[in-house]
Amino acid sequence: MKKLHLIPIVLLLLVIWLPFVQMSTGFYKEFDDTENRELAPAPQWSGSPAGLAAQIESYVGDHFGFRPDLIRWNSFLRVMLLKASPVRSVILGEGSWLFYCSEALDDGNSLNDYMGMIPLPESELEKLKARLEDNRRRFAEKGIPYIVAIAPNKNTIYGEHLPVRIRSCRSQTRLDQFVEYMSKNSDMYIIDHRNALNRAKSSIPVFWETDSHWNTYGAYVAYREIFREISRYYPDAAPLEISGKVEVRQGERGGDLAQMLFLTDVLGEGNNTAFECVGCPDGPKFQKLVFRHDSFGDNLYPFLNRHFRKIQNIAPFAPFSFEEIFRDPPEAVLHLFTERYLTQAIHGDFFYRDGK
Amino acid sequence: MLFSSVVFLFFFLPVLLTVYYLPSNRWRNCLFLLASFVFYAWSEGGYILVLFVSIACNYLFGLWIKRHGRAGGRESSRSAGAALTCGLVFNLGLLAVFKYTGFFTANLNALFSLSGLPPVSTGSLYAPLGISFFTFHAISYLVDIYRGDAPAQGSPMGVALYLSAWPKILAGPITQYRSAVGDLGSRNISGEDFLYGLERFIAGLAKKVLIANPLSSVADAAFAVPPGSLDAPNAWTGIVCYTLQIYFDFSGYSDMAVGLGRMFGFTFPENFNYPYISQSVKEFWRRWHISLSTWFRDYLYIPLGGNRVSHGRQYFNLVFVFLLCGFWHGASWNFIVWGAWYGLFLVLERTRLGDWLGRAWRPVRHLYLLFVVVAGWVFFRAENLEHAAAYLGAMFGFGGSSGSEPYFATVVNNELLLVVPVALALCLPISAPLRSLFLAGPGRIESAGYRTFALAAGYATALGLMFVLSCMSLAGGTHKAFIYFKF
Repeated sequence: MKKLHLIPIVLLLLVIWLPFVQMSTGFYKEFDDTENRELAPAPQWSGSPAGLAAQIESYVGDHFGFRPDLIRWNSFLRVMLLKASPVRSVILGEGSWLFYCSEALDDGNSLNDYMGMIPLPESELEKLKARLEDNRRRFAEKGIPYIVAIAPNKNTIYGEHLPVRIRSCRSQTRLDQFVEYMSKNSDMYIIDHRNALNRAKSSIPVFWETDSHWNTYGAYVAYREIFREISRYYPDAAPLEISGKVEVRQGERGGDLAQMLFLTDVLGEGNNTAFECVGCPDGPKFQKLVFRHDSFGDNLYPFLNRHFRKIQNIAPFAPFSFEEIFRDPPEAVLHLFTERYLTQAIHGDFFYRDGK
Repeated sequence: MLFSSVVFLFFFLPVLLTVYYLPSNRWRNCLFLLASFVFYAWSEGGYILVLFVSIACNYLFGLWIKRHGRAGGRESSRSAGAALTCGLVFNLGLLAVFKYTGFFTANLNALFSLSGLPPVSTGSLYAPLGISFFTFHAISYLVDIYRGDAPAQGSPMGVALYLSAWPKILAGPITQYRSAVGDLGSRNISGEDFLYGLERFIAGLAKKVLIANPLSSVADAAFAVPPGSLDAPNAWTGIVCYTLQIYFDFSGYSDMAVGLGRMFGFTFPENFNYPYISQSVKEFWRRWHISLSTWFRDYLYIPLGGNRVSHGRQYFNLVFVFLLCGFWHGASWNFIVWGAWYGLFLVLERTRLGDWLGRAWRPVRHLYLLFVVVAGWVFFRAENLEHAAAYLGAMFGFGGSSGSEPYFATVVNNELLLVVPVALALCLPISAPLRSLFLAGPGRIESAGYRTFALAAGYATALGLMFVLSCMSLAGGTHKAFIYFKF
């Protein structure tokens, strides 16, 4: 073999051995970020060679050397140069906007719902109504107000920043159907945050660009809607007010959608909002709130904590444990869920399949 | 284990490349065979026993044929023929049992239900990966021995090596025994061969990962649209993407197989020769899956009489061979129809239509071929005949008028704006001229001149970059990020 041929051959061997060497020795400090899942564990003999092979394949797929950096370079190349998302569940919108395509991960319904692909039959709408009304009845028997609020998907409020091929398919959503159905067939009031958020966004952004959630100002807007409903039952309570200006700041690190791309340091967040709230000069007026919520509820705590001494958090997709709640009854039960979990949140089952 | 998987690229291949070249030639075949068994068992587990049975039986059939070879006179020839027949029955029987039992049972039960008879149940049989390929290799082995074109292997290792060589066991190319027998002993591998193999492997990997994979999302979306909702523009978009996807996927895999074989001293036949530039179905099948069409020509069409029989018999043979070709691809009616589709056009091209086409303007001939091929792919990709008919209807305006855009909205992206033109360009025979601009000859970078060296180095750098981009894409495929922590 000629010496000149050896150069590329040796290079090849070096390159294809490197990931194994890195995996074994960790000589290179890899990019550090999380995929929000537990990576495949080390393979263990379970009596089946085929099973062992599958475990090795999973383990190697999750742990081979330079994997995080290769993923990151792949994301960087595609996002920054091609303007194409390498991750099916993250959609690149216009400008810096990122959107969550939840159905790519079987994690609720966002864009397929936005495009009207999964309308709910009337039978399902009736089931949802019945479930909420039953909750209300059971809490009302103990004199506890039951407040239901629906946080819209980001694409519902900022649809104008979706790619035009998705935007042009906008159709009636499940939330549209549900709100209409409830207004025609029930006396139960559901807080639909869309109107308030759409009004507010004209002056101050209400969702993060690189995160799937509403920002602190969006959460405040939602809080005001919720508190308006609370004050129907407790007229003496006064909401927190913003003192001064709401600042919109550019942040260095991106949100959860940027993290899914491994690009939190590249895609900074432009819609960080900061403001001061005044109110509740005498401290929390109420003793307890039972708050059943998904991740959209996290940003409400700074406001709700000013009114309630204790907030009991309930898992978003588990049914109400009424007996436990009634043992130490709260002043109110707040049930907040995101639009994409409409059916699952009401039925109290993340794997609820009827309405899918 | 796929060539485009992490465990193959960064574990199987480096280990094998390293240990293969360490010992002397004598042990290389043992190592290669062991690697082949590990490669096969990795995904097929206990079904490797089917491969072992095939190896053992074909080895014995080969010896049987050899013992009663033609040299011994008429009785010997009859005995050899009997041995060959037994071998063919065994191999085709193995294939029929594992791959086609479900198909035959389902169709039998359909007939039974019409006549009120109770259905039969045969349970569900798993068809081991590659069974279609190693069965055809086995048939080639026995027939070539019978014809005296190549000697029978004296030890099972030679048969095992031929049937189970890991670069080609899962998806070909189908190597005829008489061409492959020279590689089964010891092999001398030059640096040029190795580098050429490496080049083909990288190119094949890039074709699969960087071109075929992005196209598949559009094709999958198109074929997922419910019947009646798919409109014509999206139907054509989907099938064009599938037409490109299947070419780059399969030819990419073949490139990898040829390249990997070359890196270990095996010369496998080419499987693709720019099929989409063809101007007739006849030409298409000389450029598409060449090893398969060659196999059918040599082991079925010619024994049936080939072109030496009457026109009517030729037509029958063509349709029959292509029906079986379609059936070989998959155990369902849409594959049979796909094969019959080509058989029909091959027959038509031998009639006045063929004469007219021969005189037609070249773009017309090309459009004719593309129409036949693209329509044929509908049968190949669809779930069943009903789905294929609905899809074809949608292509010609008999589907929905709107309503399918949402199925594509989240999969069509800017990457396709780059991939599709590149894919279309690479369907043309531009690779060889491009390559020759950079290289004086296969790997002859030592020939002379800094310019020559610089061009070759530039070419190698481009290949290296393609490899890195492919690895990045593969890594991206292992990335399963969740928005909330998944337990």
